Amino acid sequence: MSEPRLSVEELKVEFRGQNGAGVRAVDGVSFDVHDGEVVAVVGESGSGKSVTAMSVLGLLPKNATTTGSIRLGGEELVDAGLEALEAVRGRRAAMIFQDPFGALDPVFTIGFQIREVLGKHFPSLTGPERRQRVLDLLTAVELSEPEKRMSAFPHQLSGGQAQRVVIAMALACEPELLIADEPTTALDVTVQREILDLLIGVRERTGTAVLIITHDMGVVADVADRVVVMRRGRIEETQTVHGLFTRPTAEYTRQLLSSVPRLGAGDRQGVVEGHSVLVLDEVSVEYRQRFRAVRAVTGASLHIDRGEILALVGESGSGKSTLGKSIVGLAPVKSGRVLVDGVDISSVRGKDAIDYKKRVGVVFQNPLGALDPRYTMGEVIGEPLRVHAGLKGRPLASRVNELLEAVGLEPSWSGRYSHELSGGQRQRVAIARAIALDPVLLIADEPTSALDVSVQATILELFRRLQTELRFACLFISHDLAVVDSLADRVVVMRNSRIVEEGSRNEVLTHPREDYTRRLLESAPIPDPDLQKKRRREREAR
Amino acid sequence: MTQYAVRRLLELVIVFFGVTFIIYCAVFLLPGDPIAALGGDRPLPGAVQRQLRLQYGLDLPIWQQYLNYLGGLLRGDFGTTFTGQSVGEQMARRWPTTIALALTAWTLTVLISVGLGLVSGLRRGSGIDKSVLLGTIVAESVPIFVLGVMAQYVFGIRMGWAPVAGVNAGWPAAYLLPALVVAVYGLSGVSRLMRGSVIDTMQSDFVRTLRAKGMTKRNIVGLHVMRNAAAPVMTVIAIQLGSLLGGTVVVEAIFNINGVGQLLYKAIQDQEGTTVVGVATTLVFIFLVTNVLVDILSTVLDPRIRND
Repeated sequence: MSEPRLSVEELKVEFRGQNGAGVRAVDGVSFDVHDGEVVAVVGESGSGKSVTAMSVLGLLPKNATTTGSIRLGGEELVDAGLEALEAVRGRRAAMIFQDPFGALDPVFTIGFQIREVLGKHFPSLTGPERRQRVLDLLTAVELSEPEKRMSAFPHQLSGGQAQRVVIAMALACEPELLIADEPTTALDVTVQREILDLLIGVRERTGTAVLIITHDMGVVADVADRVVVMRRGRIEETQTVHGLFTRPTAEYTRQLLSSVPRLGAGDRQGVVEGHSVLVLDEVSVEYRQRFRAVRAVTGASLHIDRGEILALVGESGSGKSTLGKSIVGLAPVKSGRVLVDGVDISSVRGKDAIDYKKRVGVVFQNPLGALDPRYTMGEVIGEPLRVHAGLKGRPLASRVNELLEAVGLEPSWSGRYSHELSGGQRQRVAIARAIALDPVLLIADEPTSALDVSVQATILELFRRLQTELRFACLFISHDLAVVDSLADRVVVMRNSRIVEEGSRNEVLTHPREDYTRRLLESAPIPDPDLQKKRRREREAR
Repeated sequence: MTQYAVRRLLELVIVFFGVTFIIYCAVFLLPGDPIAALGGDRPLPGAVQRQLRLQYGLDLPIWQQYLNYLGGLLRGDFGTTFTGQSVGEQMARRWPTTIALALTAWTLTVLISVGLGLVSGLRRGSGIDKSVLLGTIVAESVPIFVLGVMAQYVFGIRMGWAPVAGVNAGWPAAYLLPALVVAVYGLSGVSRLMRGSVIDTMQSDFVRTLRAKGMTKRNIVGLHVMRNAAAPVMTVIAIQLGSLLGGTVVVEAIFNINGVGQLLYKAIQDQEGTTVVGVATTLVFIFLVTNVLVDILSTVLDPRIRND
């Protein structure tokens, strides 16, 4: 094979802390990326995969020391001066980031921001030439109405459109290497599908070398040619994508692959009874903004029986979270009825309303945001017990310890604060708080979306166990069909504020009636490279 | 955009009438009788007092007095003092001086504190950052009459760089020193706000993107960071201009500048209500107009505000 486009050898990155102690984030990493090749670096948070990507362009903060070698087309970048780096950045190697809105300056038009990078690297281009090039780029990334969008500001775009703009910006100077750091993590599955197709299309047209950083095995199986698995700053193994999924050599890779929830996993022991805990009857939610009203939920009806897990699936903006909020009274219900255990919550006031709230538990997506940073975990879990059950002193402490044990944490942890816990541990505490009052209904809004896959697997396991023991009804809101498949009894699909499909898990996930559900299923990245290739060919044939 | 400007202007009109009415009431409903005070130790005869009250309309109910005053305002008439001088003329002689002083001081505040804020924000935690913080607080904690006199002594008498008092030397020579003294009192607030704003902006993701695009630090800071950081600072700066216009009284006294501050001070002493209301009304007007202008400018700087 010819000379690699990017060659990383024995890369080490160390961050100096404020007390002078060094933390080694990357510890002797070596890999190559060739022209026209897509190399994926996978790993969980803290594995050093993003630090590796940032170090290629020298974008690490000042307290980082980089040693080893990074060569782009033969040119050494590790000790390169700022001027040399600035000539490479955006010109020979360009980067795409996770959050497209964060990546764009909110106060300049997108046209300006793309022209800017052209102006930097091709100063000889005239104004009209630059404008034309921007138009070509926006057309190439399939942004609708490119002419009009040039003068749009980032906040006027959707997430997918903004990511297209970021990609156009990265492609502006026809770079030799494209680095994509979790480029689709912040996007919906169907949009993720489009963006990945776009990236693969670019690689095919231009032969650019692509380095993609991701934690999603489905994305890896879909786009990568070779895979580098990282853990704690080191490489666990480097393999072709096919080899990785069929014959993983490292124990860690096997573990990682087995944690990934897959569609079509085994059956769950159903615990459904004929007793409806939650009934939504033609519920509509409307938000008022000055002179116009925005319908977030339109005429939604569903029911959940005791012991049943109902999954509510949809993309961002579909109204699924709002529907969850309407049950706990956090969203303005315009019409319709919300019945919990036969009681209409819109008619209860005062003491009854408080009584009602005791019977519904909620777990949110971001556990760090959901836990008071100034409360110890014991206080967090004890608060509902103190307020609603009137517990104090020794009985309170022993109940808190019971709950901590129930979610798999040591009772001694009750004195810790949320910043001392990992993401998975925080979510365990949030779950302990939600089940503290033995609720009849639990609302879980994307409880594992912010977690690493291996952590997600353990939290889902915990969730399943608690639900079998405590037999609460559960509304499980998620965008991840594989998670839903491993957990739910029934599935409800929402789109544009309406419920479009409802049925048992098997029905919906294997024989979807609606086009939209089918598209969702097709877009979900599956951790199987052969199947993904087949799907891609099918899409291209269409 | 136009809709936004129109809405802001409508709000301005309502606030203007509300505020001037309150000022009018506050001045003329206060205890104390200006007509009785005219005569000093020897009271004027009752008939003369009655005649004067009638002449100035002081026997009318307060709302009617206010409406009369507004009617005059619309014709550009600010009324007359009890000694027969035109308030409009009094102010016309003094406003230019005070506005020149305040604008100079304001410009100095903005330039110095935005500069200091930018530098300390970019070099957060450094020696420069700490000394800017300490320096501005120390300077601001010195009373203005001490700082003013010190400035006169050092720059006016010892160095001879600027006239010690008066405005005969014209702008900018005569105005720089008093303006600088006034400007000192806005520095610490605005510079710290700017510092925080710069730190926030420097940490945002798009700055990383700009670096990844190969943009130079000068370009990133000069164009992107400045414009993003400026938006929140603008509003505070606008409010500063208002307080500067009204807050030049002491400096005008120290530097013997015959401006609106002095006029207002004397008018309050002499219970010349019409003059007090006249000055306050123009002050409110200038304040409101600057705020609307700045709000409109903010929407130009930050497009997100437009979609409110």
